[in-house]
Amino acid sequence: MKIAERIYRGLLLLYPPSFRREYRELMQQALRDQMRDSGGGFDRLRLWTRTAVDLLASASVLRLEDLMSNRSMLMGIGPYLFCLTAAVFLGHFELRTDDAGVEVGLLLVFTFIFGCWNPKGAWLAPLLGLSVPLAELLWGHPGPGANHSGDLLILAGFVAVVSIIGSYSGVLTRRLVASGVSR
Amino acid sequence: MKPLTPPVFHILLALSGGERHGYAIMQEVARETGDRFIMGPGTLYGTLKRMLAAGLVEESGERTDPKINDERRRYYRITPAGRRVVEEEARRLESLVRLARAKSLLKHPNLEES
Repeated sequence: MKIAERIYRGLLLLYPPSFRREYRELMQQALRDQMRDSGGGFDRLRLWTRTAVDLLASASVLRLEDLMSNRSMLMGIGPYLFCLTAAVFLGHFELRTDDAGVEVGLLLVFTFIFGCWNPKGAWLAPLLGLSVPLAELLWGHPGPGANHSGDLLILAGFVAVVSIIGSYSGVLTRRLVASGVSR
Repeated sequence: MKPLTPPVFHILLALSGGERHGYAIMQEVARETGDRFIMGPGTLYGTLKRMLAAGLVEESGERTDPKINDERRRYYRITPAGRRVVEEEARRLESLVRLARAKSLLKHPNLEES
């Protein structure tokens, strides 16, 4: 392989990996063809200048497209990342305070956002709420003589119901807003 | 339909004359435009990738081109959808040229000849 081809092969690293896998050999072949058909001296210099500009421009566009497709993937898992973060926050909050009113309020707000954001996955909202009894089960301190497992089951049922109410309120609100906008 | 980008239009024009491999497309586009539009490998294959995804072109196999050398080459051909798109774009450009003529921005070809 000539030095020019080696340099070009190295510069192909600027392209996204998936594009490189599919087209690297074909692009090198096209460059070899161009080099063979171009004259020497000034023609060769013009070919290299044009190739460098083409490489930078097309690699930038393809990198941007790649980034945009990853962004849409991130948007897809966004609601679940939010759900996980909110669950950790709620579990932590449960251990730090006894203010049930605030906890229920936060649970309603988080599950409402989750339902709005991800209507198809709204049924998963109880997983967010179950972080409360889970945190209590793993790190909580039951009082003397308390029927802890029974309390936890009641708590789990309660947060599951609140979560479903929150998330499906979000779904309903989203549909109402969407139908209002489309009218 | 949105206007086609120059690389897409020129690749479709080149392939409307029959299937071609990448370098043959580059050569055909340069020849048809009098070397005013020269595509590099990055533009060519970046555009072909998008056109394949959009169903405007398809791969038609790999084989050698004896006119060049014995390396295997990947051939592409225009799809019926690609042909419809390039015809529509040609009609759009034709109507623009007609408009430019009506506004005396271009001479009528018959007048140029006389």
